[in-house]
Amino acid sequence: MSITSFPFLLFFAVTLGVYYILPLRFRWSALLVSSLLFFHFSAADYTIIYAAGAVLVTTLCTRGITKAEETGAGKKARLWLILGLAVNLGILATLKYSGFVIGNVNFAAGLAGSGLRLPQPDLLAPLGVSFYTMSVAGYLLDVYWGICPAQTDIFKTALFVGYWPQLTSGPITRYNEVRDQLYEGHRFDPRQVSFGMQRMLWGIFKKLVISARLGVVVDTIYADTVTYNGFYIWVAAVSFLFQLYTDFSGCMDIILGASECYGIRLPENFRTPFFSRSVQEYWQRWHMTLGAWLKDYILYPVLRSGAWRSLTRWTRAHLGKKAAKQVPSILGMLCVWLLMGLWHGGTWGYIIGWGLWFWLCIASAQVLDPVFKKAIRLLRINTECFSWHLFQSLRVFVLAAIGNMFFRLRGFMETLHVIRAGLFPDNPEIFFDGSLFSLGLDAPDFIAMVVSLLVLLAVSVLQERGSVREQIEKQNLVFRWVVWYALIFGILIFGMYGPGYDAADFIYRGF
Amino acid sequence: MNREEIFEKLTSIFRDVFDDDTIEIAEDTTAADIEDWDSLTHIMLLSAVEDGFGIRFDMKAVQGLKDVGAMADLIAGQPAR
Repeated sequence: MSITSFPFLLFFAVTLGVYYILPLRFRWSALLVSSLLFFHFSAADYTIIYAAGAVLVTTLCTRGITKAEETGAGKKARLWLILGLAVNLGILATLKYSGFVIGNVNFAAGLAGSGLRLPQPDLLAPLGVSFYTMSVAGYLLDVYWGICPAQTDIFKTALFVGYWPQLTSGPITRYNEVRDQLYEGHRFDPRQVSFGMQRMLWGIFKKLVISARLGVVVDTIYADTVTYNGFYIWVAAVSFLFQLYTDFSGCMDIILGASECYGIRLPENFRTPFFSRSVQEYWQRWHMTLGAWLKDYILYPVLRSGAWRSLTRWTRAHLGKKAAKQVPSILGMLCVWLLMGLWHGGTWGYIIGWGLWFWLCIASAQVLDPVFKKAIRLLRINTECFSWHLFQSLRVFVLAAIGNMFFRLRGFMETLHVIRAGLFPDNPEIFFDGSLFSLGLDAPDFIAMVVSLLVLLAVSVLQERGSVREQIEKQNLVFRWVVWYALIFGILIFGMYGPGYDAADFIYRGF
Repeated sequence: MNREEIFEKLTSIFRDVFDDDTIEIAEDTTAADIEDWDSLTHIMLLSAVEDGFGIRFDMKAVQGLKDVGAMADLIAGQPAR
């Protein structure tokens, strides 16, 4: 069940109605039943066994950790933690990466001249496995570290793991952030429900009006890079970055808006990332819950580990103080970025191309920082003005667009081949002779796409100043209704949906 | 070690980590007050503080740190390794 489809809207309306009809203390149970229904409508029923396994093991292990810590049995608590992490991450690894591992084993065997050919498994992963596994692993670690208490009710743990809005594409939640909200039950608040629905509308607009159109352009160009080379490649790269943003952040708007209607505020995943002035900042504003998860549960423990401390001491003794500050942190970030690539998919395109690319951007910015600062001083560049900020944001945008070519094309060598096709563009005429209208969208559709991107830009500028919905709320009645009706009719008239379109699925739903 | 001595030692660690001999810290100093204090430097700072005072913070304490005063509280309450 796609979250931009009519059946979904019906499902949402019915479950929301039931949620508010039930007494407060039963409302969390309504969410659990809704989540089971959502799972049933959206995925193969048998795959729920993996999610149920995760719930059972997590409940047992967090109870085990708590009991062991209460009796001062630190080693036992550690064993419960390792068991919980091993089972949950093991399920994820088996479902998502066994194909990758077997493919590489077969490739290596082929190189070695061996006739070994392991069969590729045909495993169907449950909905949202990559997202809820991260939430569960963080929860296990938080209980172990004493950051949050263990949930003893298995059904409440099941709701934390399987709360339906986060099953499509996240966000990755922290137990501490959502536990009270999920279980306490919320009173009906018309303003909150209306705000939630407004946000859902904006998400549907982003997805069906903007992202779907950009997807047509991207697919047309990448389907034939022999014909569409030079500047076309860069049109596709930029279009894909906007497509991915409007698709993923649109999905988040629908999910967070729906959750807001229940009175549950899930963590934000985007904060106008294209206004970032460095790649590092971009990753603090794009898929924020994944970045924060990797920082807290991978980067921090790695950098504080004995091995990294030894590395720091060794670097200080042999390479000096400056290197001792940079080398360990850059290597720590390498671990994070390779994992970031792996999380997104079991292909070398993701791991080396995408992960390594962003790591290279961030690490080189750190290493070359003194050189850049010196150049800025020598050239007397004013760094506190709009034009410099614009240049910085455009630089980040281009680097992100290149990195996301590895994301879209997936194959490492294929992406390098496509980048080569656009390396020395000699066809600037495509921007003036109407060639852009031959990329699957006719002139009116193309103009609709450009206008809606301008609307997106305007909303993003307003978002930098605070909640857009609150800003609209302060306006007069007529203006408010004009805005919301324009959005509704914008979706109905310009949305690409229904038979003949395949825009309903979300890019991040595959993870 | 009294609070004054803790702050004296912390100041020297801060100056070393941020490579800035002019840094002055107070109870309410936060990451917003020091230009290069990002999430990465934060962890390097904590490691330097742990090494400097011969202590080990647990993750709960690390995530709950609000300002330098809280860090000093934590140091004062930690048994030496």
